[in-house]
Amino acid sequence: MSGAGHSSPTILRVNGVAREVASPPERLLLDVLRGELRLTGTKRGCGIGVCGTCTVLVDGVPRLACRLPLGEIGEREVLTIEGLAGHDGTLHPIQQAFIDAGAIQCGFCTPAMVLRAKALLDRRPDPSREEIRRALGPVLCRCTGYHQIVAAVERAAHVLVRGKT
Amino acid sequence: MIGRSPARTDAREKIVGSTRYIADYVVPGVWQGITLRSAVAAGRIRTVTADAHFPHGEAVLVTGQELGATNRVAMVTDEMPFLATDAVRYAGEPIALVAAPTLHAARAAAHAVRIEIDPCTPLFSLQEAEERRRADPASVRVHAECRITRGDAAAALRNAAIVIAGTYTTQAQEQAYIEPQGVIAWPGQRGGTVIEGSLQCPYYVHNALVRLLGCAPEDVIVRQSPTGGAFGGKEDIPSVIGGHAALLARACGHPVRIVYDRHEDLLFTPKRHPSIVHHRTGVSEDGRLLAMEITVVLDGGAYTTLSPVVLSRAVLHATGPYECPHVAIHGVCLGTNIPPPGAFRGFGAPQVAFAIESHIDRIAHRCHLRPDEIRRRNIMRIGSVTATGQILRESVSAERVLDEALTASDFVRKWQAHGAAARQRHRRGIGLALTWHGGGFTGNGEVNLASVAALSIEDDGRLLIRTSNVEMGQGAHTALPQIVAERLGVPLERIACAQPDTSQVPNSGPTVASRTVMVVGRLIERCADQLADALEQAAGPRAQWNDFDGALDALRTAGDPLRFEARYEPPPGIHWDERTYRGDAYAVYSYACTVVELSTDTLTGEVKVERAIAACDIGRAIHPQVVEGQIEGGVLQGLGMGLLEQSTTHEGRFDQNRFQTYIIPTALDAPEILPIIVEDPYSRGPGGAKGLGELPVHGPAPALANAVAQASGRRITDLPVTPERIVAAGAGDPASPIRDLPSPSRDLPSPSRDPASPSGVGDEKEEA
Repeated sequence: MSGAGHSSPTILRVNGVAREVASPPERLLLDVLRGELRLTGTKRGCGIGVCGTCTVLVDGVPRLACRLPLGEIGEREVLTIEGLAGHDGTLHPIQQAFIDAGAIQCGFCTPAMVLRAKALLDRRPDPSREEIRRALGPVLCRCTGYHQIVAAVERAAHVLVRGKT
Repeated sequence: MIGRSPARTDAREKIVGSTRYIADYVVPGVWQGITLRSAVAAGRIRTVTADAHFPHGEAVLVTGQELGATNRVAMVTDEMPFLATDAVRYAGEPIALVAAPTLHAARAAAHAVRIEIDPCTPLFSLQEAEERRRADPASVRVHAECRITRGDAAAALRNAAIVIAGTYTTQAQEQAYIEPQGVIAWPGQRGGTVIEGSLQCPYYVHNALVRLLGCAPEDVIVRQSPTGGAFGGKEDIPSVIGGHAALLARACGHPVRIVYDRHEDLLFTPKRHPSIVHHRTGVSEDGRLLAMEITVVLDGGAYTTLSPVVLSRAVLHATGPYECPHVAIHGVCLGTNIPPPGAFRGFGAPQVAFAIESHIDRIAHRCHLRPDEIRRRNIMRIGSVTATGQILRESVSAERVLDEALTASDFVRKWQAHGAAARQRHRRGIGLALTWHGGGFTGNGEVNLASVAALSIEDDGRLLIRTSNVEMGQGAHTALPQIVAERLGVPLERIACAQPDTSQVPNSGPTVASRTVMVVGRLIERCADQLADALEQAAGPRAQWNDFDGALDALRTAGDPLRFEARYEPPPGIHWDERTYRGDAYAVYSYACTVVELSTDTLTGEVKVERAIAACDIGRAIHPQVVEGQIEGGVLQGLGMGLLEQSTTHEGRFDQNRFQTYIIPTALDAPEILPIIVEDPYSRGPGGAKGLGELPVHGPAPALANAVAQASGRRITDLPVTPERIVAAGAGDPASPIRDLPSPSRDLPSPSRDPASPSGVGDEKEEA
């Protein structure tokens, strides 16, 4: 299972680092992240692209890692939950907002929710509540009723906008 | 510290993605286990054999034949086998297990296992079971049966001015925790095992594994892994999956992981019991309940599992929080050939809440009363007597939550406005439901559990709370430390909860029944008091301490024990007779009033829920933010049950085998949810707290059905309230596809406008 083998290794740019991976190009990104790179913050909740817990950002766009073969990523940058906080452990304002707003319960959907929130706020710094709900819509949560997650994204938007001005 | 909302103790790890759930564990040499299941719903197994292609040495096969008498899962009854050996009772029943170094290899090996079954005639539906039983009582298996009698309901019904009858049904509901079921078993010492998994009840699994493996209790260790939601769905089945993994680990000598994929999880793990509830209620013209005759029929599926306890909770909540002098309740749980249902948040109570709260609105309509008026006329208050003869003595807040919800929703004004609105295609409605939930185990359950919790002082000076109650998202491992912090006046940071591990924590019971804060929290509070006393013994009166650490040092120097335990003691004056179903069914009840506002398209049957309000009395909110999250999440699960979540079967197999077909609410489906915390303290709860976890689930479905009835004039008595059912309910009257609305009761019409039938008996149609 090591990098030595018949096919040449692929370079996967993930969380700001170019990683050499041995997985073949048809292997799903979810399995590469979880299996080979041990980035297990990306979850497998259904395996068929419905629950959304495997969401990662590819060049800032939310993608379902369980539906995305490694070979389709190419030079693009993958961001997983492990790459969001600073190297010194400082939380991203969205992460802090999730904690402050009580948006975390069992935590299984949390990484996907945070990444979807990031994709939204990067594009639309001051979204309406409806836009937030639309952005979070593809990720299932069974614990929260979504309200505290929506509130967390609103809180993060305030912090991020205020931080820029 | 009680009443404040500090950051959850598990928040940091979860937000950076470093929490390791069971599928995330890196275990060198781990093999993957899979389950081979029956293809038919009923039959007799002829053979289970590995053919010549089975890769012995590279894979292992385990069948039930080799297990003998230990092949029974210890639950309420020891009935269900880990692996079927003779009779097969449901499609998907486990028959054999295979493990191999990879999932791919395990699946390939499974192809070399031949299972032959002679099919026999199954029984698929509860309706069919009920009919069959009426014809021949011995023809249907009965998992459980019980009766509650107060007064003489039959006589009172004969004399009642008005009798209203109705039947209400609910389907199986899937817990839909987002993390699928999973465990890892390591081969253990002396025939034992070490289990880690996503589970709610470490000691349930421990008990089942000791029995299965026939080893000493100390040779089975069960640890809970961080659990990605459970809602009851990880109460009983981890004993089965844990047993499977342990058998495979014993067979192959490697650790074995079994993680269900979503398809397997949806199809074969327990769900909420399908139900049929019949009501016949005698009322006075002015809306007082005179007699209630209630029959609760649950579909218990293929094996007894938890059904007796679910049925018990169902009948005990069947009257709703209303007082009635004459009550006769008959509960029965019938056997069919569907996968055994189990625990799901509410545990029988949501089914009966849907029935009574729909029914009470129909009674209100018949008596020309508003929904709040009929409820207030019959509501439980201090001193009220329940169907089991229990006198409610404290923290009886049904009327308070009703008032809170009415005010917050502006219910009366909206009810009247919607009722008087023009009968257009798109119409709005508002509905409410008043519900209760007994905290902790039913009857003598807590006495029998005799839970023990402990608080220890660790070498680093931290206080460690040792319980077998798990964090599964509900915030228990934040709330329990808050209780200790409050009692001792120490910062939250120095208090932690041990990760549940049967070799490290005492048995404080399962993480179910809204009992963790109320019952186990109380034990922890008592442990904290013992510690405080010991510190005062060692370091003198508290006012003289320099700081907490100084007092701790004094305690250490004195050589006193650094671990404090408390065992459950029932509140004084509580008596329950399991045989007669008389007495105090629960030490105390929590109450909720849920209001749902929605709009309907009466042509297409579409429903848009606009707003839900839930006023919940839980005695005291330890962590208000967590409480609000529990209420919001529970309300949405209840709305899912009411509106979206369908479970249908074909040949005993659920049709909904993925999240594309089993629809749970998304962020776009969720309405605005307003949680209202009401605090009517309970003298025996920690800081006054009562049970919370299950309470918010009961009200949304009936409140929704009541709101749909107001908006559309169509009473849907079968959940979920789908567009198809709303359209079908409007199809009875071809001259007027849109039926008349129930009239609001602002100007009470005289009873003569709608006289009761002379006999007063019969299936009254509310809206026609």
